[in-house]
Amino acid sequence: MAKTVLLIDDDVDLLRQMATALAGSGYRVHVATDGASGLEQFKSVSPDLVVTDIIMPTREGIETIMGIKRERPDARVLAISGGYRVGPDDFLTLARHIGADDVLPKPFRLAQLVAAAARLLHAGPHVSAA
Amino acid sequence: MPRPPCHELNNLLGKILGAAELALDAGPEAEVAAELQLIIELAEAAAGVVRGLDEARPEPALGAAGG
Repeated sequence: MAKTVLLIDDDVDLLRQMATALAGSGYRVHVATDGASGLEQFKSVSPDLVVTDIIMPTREGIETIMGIKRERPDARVLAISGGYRVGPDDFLTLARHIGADDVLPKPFRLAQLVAAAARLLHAGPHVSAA
Repeated sequence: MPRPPCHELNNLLGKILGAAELALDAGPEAEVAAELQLIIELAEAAAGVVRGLDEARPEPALGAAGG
């Protein structure tokens, strides 16, 4: 059975491109354009992997990842972002600290996204860092 | 959350990369494929420039999220 991926990004062109690439690699793909609807879909779809942008309207990615991990601590999350630094750190480092399993800075090749998804989905049982 | 200056540029470059990659996947003629490959290389080079500019700017204050 195909693994399910939930994509959350407010950029609809990028969302479509990522969905095309992942669907072409055999994944079942669901999409959401903001963190709030992404979290709702997460609850109803229970995907194998969530790929979420960080800087989004309504509910940004950091808060979304926290919500996902609260809902299902073993959920696998790949954080993506085109924004770099905030204070001495960057958004993707923050994402890792609050539970993202892997990060991918934008811009990235679609092939890199597919490879990261495959790596996360075929990794062994999730072990929480907590 | 305020959008850092590099955010829009990186999203644009990501879409250029994605469009070129998906067009390559469609199996274009060799001449078109070479141009698409060049677009990918140029977009990646531009991404390096954006990254360099971001690293060169003054460190944003916590909570300002880079403006």
